[in-house]
Amino acid sequence: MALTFLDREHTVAGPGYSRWLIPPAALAVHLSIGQAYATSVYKNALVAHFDTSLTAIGIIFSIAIVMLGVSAAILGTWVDRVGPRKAMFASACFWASGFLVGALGIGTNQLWLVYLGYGFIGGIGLGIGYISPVSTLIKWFPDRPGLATGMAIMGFGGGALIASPLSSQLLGFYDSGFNPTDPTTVASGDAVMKLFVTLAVIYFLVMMLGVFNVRVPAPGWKPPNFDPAKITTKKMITANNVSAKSAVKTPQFWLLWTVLFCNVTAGIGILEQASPMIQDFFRGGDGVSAVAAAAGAGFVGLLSIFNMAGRFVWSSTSDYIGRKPMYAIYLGGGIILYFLLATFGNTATALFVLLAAIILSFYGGGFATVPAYLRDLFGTYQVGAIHGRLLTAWSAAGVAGPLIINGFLDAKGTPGELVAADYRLALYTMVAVLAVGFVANLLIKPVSDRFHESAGHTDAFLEAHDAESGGQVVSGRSS
Amino acid sequence: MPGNENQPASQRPRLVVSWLIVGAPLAYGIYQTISRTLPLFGG
Repeated sequence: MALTFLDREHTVAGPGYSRWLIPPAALAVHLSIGQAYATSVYKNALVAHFDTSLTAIGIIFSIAIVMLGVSAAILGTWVDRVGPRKAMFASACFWASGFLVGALGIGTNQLWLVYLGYGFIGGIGLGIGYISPVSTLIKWFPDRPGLATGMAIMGFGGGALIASPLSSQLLGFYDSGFNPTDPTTVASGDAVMKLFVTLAVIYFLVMMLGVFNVRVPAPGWKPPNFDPAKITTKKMITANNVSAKSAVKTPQFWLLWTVLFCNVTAGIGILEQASPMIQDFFRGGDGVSAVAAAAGAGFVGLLSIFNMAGRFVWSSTSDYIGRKPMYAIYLGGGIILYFLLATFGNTATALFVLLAAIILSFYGGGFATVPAYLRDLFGTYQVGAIHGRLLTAWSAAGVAGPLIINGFLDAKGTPGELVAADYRLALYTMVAVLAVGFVANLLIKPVSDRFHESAGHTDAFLEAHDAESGGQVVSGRSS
Repeated sequence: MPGNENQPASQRPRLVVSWLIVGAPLAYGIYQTISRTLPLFGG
């Protein structure tokens, strides 16, 4: 069969397979699906093409993010059972098909097809793709799970950095009347359609790199010189396993859900209004801002880099200082930084930029460190599925964050025409949100023994295939 | 980092190509984004 390369015997690594081939496999997927945060490039073009509102076009992105959370939560157990290769392949098919159906919608002037394509079908690809490499990375890097998942989830932040300029340049290539550097020009619908087809092909091919490179370690494999006993003697790292079904019944899961929700909500508070916010903070009495619009756009770019870098740097740091202290820094440090931003942020542009950049690095770090925190609390058995369920906190924060910040700002006027004082109440509210998350993190203790699986349940993928093959363990080999 | 373990030599080209495929676009994205941040610093 043409798809036999997806089978288990091709997925278990043979002796000597380099574990350093796994991070680029994960990055190939995350860099591709990270395009989801670069939709603003063609938003105005779609508004003009469909002759509709920004809200109607924004729904495409909203459906995709909701589907990310829903599919990660529902399909997480399936991902753990079938393994990373089949999951990455499914993600690539959904993600590329989403672009193609979306392109069809643009070509035939049917907005609902874009909702169905990019939003619904593509969103499923986002959810499966986001969690597909997580448990595999944790198994390959039991000595440094934070570093491993940080590298992959950094890709999701990096994906937007690539897609944004690439899409602009491709739109300019497909539509000679469109100038990417001139905000007054808008690309044609035809150019966006061709962009979608191009991205479908590029992303499918890049994600295939992940599909072909990814492997799960053979049963009993461990890195050279790694002693598992050293890790599991730490109080907050379990040597046991908890199933996804049991995990959602533990207080630890919901405390961590609250931690992630609060951290993401606070980060979105800045991300949502970054460009107008920096201009408003330095608006003089004459109504003119000391920060130009171009500098505001540059500020958004700088935050994207810190968001991405934080995912790698802070998640790797958590391997040394522990997951709970790391989140205490994200949330406790965030409280101080947010307070300073709200109170003194308008005194100097450099101070404002520095504070916001560190806050965004904590936002990214929160995403990247959470899989390792889950591994510490619930073991590796169904960590991908548990991670999938936890990502509903992201979806909820995606709704709550903008609601909080926009709710306060709408009462003051229009962002881009405000002053620093108008932001204070919104930012102090974020301080309170972070305080809730800080307390939730402090309350996290090791999971009670009654939730632990029996000793036989240690690997959902191996277990599923052993059951299918009547208990015969298939020996691993490289391909 | 890649190559710091005792890997079979046959895997080295695969490691280099795999990291290049993801590293090169990422470097392009970072470069483009940093270029965009220059107005913030008066560039």
